[in-house]
Amino acid sequence: MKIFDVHTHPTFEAGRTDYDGVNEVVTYASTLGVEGMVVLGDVLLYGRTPSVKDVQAINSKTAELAEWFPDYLHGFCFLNPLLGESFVVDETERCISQLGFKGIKLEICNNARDDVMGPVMEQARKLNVPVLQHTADQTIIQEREFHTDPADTAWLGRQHPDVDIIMAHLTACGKRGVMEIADVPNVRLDTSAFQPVSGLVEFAVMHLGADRVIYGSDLLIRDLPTQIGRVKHARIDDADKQKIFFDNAVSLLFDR
Amino acid sequence: MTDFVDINISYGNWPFQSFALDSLEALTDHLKTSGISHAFASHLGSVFDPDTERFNRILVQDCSAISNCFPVPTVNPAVRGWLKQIEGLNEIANIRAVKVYPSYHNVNLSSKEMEEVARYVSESNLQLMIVVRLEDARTRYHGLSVTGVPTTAMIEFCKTHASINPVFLNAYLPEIREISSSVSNVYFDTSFADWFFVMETLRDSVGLSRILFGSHSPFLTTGASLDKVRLARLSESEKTIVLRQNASELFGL
Repeated sequence: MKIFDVHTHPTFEAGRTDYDGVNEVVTYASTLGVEGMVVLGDVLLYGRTPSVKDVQAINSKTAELAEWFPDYLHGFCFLNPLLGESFVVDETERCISQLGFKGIKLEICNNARDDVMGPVMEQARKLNVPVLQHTADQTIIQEREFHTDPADTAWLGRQHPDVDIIMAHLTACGKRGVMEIADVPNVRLDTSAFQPVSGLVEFAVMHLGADRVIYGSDLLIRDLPTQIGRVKHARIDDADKQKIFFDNAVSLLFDR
Repeated sequence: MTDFVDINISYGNWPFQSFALDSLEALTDHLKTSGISHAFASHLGSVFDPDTERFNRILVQDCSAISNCFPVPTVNPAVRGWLKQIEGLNEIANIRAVKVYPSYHNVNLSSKEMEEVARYVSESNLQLMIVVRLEDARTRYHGLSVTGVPTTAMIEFCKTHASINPVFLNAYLPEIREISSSVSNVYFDTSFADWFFVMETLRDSVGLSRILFGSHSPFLTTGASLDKVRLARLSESEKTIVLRQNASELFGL
């Protein structure tokens, strides 16, 4: 079964950032059936709220990776919305219009409900790209001031119904997270994060439909066979697996 | 490759997760279809209920009906009488290992009670499994304040009880690396170890002789846990060490 991975960080913190290091990742992923990946950037390399220079450096590294493997690695433009509208516009124009990135990536600079999200969503709408929002249940983590809960991602989706959003991290969002976005059709869910907790993929498919569930690994933080395995061994039919593993991502990123 | 040994399965009700495989028979049938021929099982009833004897006896009875399913009864050192219970179980079943849940039973690894447990398993030639956690701390039920067993406590326990070789279940990769860099009389299961090329990392930093396959089913997806080893960049002989050989030697299969 073909696989497209919408959630990867092929270079991460102190790990290898050279061509050979990335090639090792790509080669191994290819042996497991992965035919393409979204590169989200090393988004925490400079801390939670990176500067203009930091964000540009992260995205330039993403561009370098995509240039090394143009048919395999596809960049998303990482943004710190706190840096303001002017920078958001400039950086998205650079990354998406000029460098060919396929979407926007948001991490934990701010909560998805914050006003600074306005220009980001406007750029996503204008440039016709999806937004991947890092999301995790804040019930225990309790960082909602800057860390986005599934309810916040759902809120964002309702405010911007014409923008496609990928809510990251099925396991971190849990069943409550699935239910938060159930009635927000422009919000999809990626399968990444933590251990392959049983029953979650099945729950997501039951409540969102397979069309709104997208495979993501979150590598290099995660073990790739384990992340693939959580979908491969889920108790859903093969047609749904094919949508989750490949069709949904390709349609969202390339058929726009 | 088949005939894998899974040292970390559980069954019974768990209040925070619904299991599709809700009986030991259903779970072991599922494991067998995945190539897992031997499994070490525990009953989740004894995690929250102080009446461990009841669930241990159910466990022994359920395992007796399933080939190559080995009961791992729970020892709750916080409840008096555990020693008599385990000795009683040993008379009716071939017990190869016992399990403790220090965080769930409010037991410190440096406590007098754990010293007694360590002495008992040493004298009885039993293996001791220590559950570091059952769920990821970031996704557990918000009202449950149980956290993982502290790494420093695990290291001290191993140093204090050098004659036993505890098996730590559900430890994260950084914990495994830190503990194994301090003590050598220790084993770990694979269930919560996570990172890109994680099995190679374990091989190079810990040594595969200390790593045993554990799926942590039914909490986790069995096939995904198995693929961590089966599809790792290891040689076939290295995979066999983790999937079968280490457990066979440690538990005398």
